[in-house]
Amino acid sequence: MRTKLGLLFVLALLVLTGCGAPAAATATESPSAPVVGAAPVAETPTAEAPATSETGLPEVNPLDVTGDIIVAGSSTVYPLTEAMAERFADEGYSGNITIDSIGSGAGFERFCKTGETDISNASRPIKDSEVESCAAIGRTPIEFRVGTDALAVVINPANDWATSVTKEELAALFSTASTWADVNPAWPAEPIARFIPGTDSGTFDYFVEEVFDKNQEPILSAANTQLSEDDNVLVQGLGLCLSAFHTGGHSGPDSPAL
Amino acid sequence: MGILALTALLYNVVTESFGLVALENEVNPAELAMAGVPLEELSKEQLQAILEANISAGLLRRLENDQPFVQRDRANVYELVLERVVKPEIVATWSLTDSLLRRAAIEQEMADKYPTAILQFRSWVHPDFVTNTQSSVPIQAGVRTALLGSLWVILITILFSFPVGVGAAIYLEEYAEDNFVNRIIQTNINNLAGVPSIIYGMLGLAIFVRSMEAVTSGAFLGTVDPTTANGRTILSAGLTLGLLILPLIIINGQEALRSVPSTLAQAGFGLGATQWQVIWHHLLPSAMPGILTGAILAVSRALGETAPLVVIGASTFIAVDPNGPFSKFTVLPIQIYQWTSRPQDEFRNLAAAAILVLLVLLLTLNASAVLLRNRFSVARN
Repeated sequence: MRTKLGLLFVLALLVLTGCGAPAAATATESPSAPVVGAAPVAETPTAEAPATSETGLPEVNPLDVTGDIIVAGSSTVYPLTEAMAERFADEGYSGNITIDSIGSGAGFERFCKTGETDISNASRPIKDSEVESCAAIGRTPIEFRVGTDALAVVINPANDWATSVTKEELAALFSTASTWADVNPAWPAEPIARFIPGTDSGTFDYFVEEVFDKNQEPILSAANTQLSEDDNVLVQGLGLCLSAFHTGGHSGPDSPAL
Repeated sequence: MGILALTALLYNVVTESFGLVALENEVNPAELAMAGVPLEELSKEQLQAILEANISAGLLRRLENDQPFVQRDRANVYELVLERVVKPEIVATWSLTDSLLRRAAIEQEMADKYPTAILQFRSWVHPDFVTNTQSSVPIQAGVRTALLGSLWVILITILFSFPVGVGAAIYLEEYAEDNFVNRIIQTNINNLAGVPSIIYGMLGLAIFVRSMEAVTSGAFLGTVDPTTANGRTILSAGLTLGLLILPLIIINGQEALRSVPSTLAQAGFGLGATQWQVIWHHLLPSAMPGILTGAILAVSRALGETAPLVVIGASTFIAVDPNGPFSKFTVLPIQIYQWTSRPQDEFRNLAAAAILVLLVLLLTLNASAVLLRNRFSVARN
């Protein structure tokens, strides 16, 4: 098993709204999008990217932009968006930027149903039903991938036996097995404590899709499992319990990964 | 028991708010030296070249726009290089207790892990913390927008709930007859005091944000601001919290009015005063200390409330200060929650510092209410 179990797409959607001021503002955020794409895990964008090639939108001088920008959506993308907003303001944008950290689904609801936001943050691609509701209020979502998130399976540093895990073993670890020996006879009979992100998170969706073939049952019915949307809870749980297991989003610290 | 728990909590907050930090420069100043000349002695042109090579074109454009480089002096450009290129960053933090008791161990750890970093004592609560805006860089982050948001919201809450609450208490106590409808109203008020705050959030979302959008977004005044056109404003938040604490204020107000000796009112009536004159000149001033005590408790509750505000759509990040009842906003408890949910240690220190700011704000509000209450009591005696 490699460090990278797979990729999780972090998407930012950008749409030109009907009314004047926000429309001008939305167009401006786009040059930052590919910038962040270039440095997916870092919180601060590093390099300046070519402005027009990827997004098809012209480069914008933040000094000339007026109006306000309203952003809402995924909490996974929040730190990234915060850094982007800060940099945009740093480069001379004088309007107000607000970011609401309310989750991908709720973000799309505000974007597509009530049309309140200019940018919708999401840690998953937009659903067809959401595109339809957007069309119903006359909006066409444009998708921007601002980062690629790696999903890491992390173990407690004291665990020195699990150095290589297959996908089948991973499925067992996160469902039926109660001790490590159940998964692989070569491992000690230590109990497994599982810490996984909550069911609302894109990380959870992706893990279930890849490891359990879209079936949530096994992982949710596993004993000794703690689900939390709060990465802190997961990371701290991992530190306290020997043989803990955890899949984390991009904001986790440097814990050993398989 | 309770005092013990509170002390433990306060200890936790304080110990996180102060302590040693390890500062490391993102770029070592020694590396920026040109042809053997150290950074401190470079000329303005050389410093400007360093700046141009290391920061983004957009930022350069903004800096040039603020004040053209030809007009800037060497000291100014040197400051910019330090701030934008050298960029000191916090790489590790320790709590106050650790900083005081395990100094040697920390120094050892520093030498092992961060040889180029410098150890510094940092108080996370400092004047800049209160005046800086939100930031993703812990060292620059502050609570100004959240603090102003909290103050605005609580101002609206008090302005709405205090007159309405006291008015309702007077009506129910002095005017309302003891009939079926009034008994139902009374029972409902008592029950509403126990309803979870998130329910009030939903109520606020349905009534203030959605139904009364034209009022709460300020559109009725003709000031159509696209950011607030959806009614998720300070006014909505203030009114929602006002509703939340209204039952508390009414119940307390009734109790206070009831505790005024009835002889006082009867003496007033005996001298030919109307009912309103008796209430305004005799009952209300005597009951004021009790009413204010209730209001203090209620406002303290509103100030720490997060759930209803999240439901009605308080922002998490806001770049510009709220400037009136129709602005978007964020409040201190939301900011604190956001910081505690981040895994980096620095943000936990920031959260602890923000908690201290919230505590100070709460104590200030309470102290002023207590002073006001004491004035009333003294005046009557």
